[in-house]
Amino acid sequence: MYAVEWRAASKRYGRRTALDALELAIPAGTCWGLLGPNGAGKTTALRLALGFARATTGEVVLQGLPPTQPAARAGLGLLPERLALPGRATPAQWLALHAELIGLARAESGTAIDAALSRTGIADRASEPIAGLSKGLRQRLGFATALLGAPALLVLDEPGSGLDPLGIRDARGWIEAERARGATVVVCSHQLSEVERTCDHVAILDRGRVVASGALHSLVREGETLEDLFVRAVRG
Amino acid sequence: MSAFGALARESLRDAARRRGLVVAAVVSAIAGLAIARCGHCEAAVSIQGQELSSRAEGLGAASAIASAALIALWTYAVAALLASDGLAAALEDGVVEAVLARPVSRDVLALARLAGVWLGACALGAALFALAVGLALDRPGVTVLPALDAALAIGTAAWGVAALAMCISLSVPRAATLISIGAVGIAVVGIECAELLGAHMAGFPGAVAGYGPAWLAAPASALAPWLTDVSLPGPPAWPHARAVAWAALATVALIARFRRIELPR
Repeated sequence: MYAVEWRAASKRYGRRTALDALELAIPAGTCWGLLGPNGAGKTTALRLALGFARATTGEVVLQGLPPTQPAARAGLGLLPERLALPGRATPAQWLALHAELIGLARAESGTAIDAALSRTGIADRASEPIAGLSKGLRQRLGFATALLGAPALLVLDEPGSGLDPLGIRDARGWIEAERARGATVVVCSHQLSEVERTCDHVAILDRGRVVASGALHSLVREGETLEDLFVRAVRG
Repeated sequence: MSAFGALARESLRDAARRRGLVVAAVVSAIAGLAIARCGHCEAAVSIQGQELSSRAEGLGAASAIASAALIALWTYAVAALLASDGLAAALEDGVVEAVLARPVSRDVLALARLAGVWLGACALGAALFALAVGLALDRPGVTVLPALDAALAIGTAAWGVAALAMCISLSVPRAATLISIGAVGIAVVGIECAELLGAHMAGFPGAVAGYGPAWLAAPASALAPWLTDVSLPGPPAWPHARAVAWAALATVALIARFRRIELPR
């Protein structure tokens, strides 16, 4: 069972090809790092996987279904790169909306929201307008939103963005806890050292194509780091 | 259904947070005070000390209908104002992405955002309408049932206006949306008003009068029973049917447009 599959998925914007017949399958229960230089097609690949955009050719399957079907997005937790939160709402209101959207019963939603807020360290700011939160606290709220309801698939686009060293350490802990719980985790990031520490598989994209993919230990040679692998894969 | 309710409530809260609903509520309250102070006036037409009661009765009902028409137009304006950034702003600030990462269909999201702003506009319109009708009830000919029928017609038309504004807002900036919907509104209401006053139109204006959205014609025809000596052209249910059909058409257009949008914009 694959959590996400790109089957020869291409995406073109006019003459520009953002994704070129991408072939990649992420098995359920694994933790993947989606890497690549700027403009490699990582975000486009995620957009297709989430049903935000349609593939020009080929197809994408999310949890066994076309991503445009709402059921495909059940049990999905997303932390987008462009984290958008309504500034006038409070973290508690924002999480309450998401609790309803994922179908949590009223009785369990309060407990789940409190747990997400305290886990991500923003419980004491739960009733303040989001506009007043710092970038790091907003990122923590983004994590709280993504982690709400114990998702089966966690998609994190630049999870370390805006976080201080303590926040990055906390984020690593949350990802490891989700992995231990059995969730599939997809991390899209430029912070290779963090990916190396949290993921067991990587896929490196360049110019819309996969140039390397598989288990980290099988791709990285003796004495190499992930950064070395990245440079070797992208520069050839 | 739970997701729809949650998103509709969020849409209403969002409209309040953006202050559009608050501004509309304040203006509505001022209008309500004006109606309460002036809406109870009675026409006292007399010649040589003799009151022309039959003429005054007609004037009373007619002025109540005019008030209702103005409240209908105000409700449409608020609906357009709120709808013009009800979905577009959520798209721009990325909230739509966050919602669509959940098991929610685009159709449900669009309809819920529409329902939220529609409820906000209708709540303000209904309060004013109830006040105006309540004060007019002691006038000869003015009864409750036609008023309920008119309220339904205004609600239907407001849904259509909001759906149209929301649909346009997905393609052009907010100011352009408001100008477009305002221009369409003035044209439609102007033509319908002329027709209600007895003008006979051909060509495009005639088609709008006969088959258009009946934004003014539907509530006016509902209130026609208040006027004993006036009969409107066509079957009484026709303006209502047109309002429903155009509201449905605008809703379908909104859903079709939203389905085609790729995120983030």
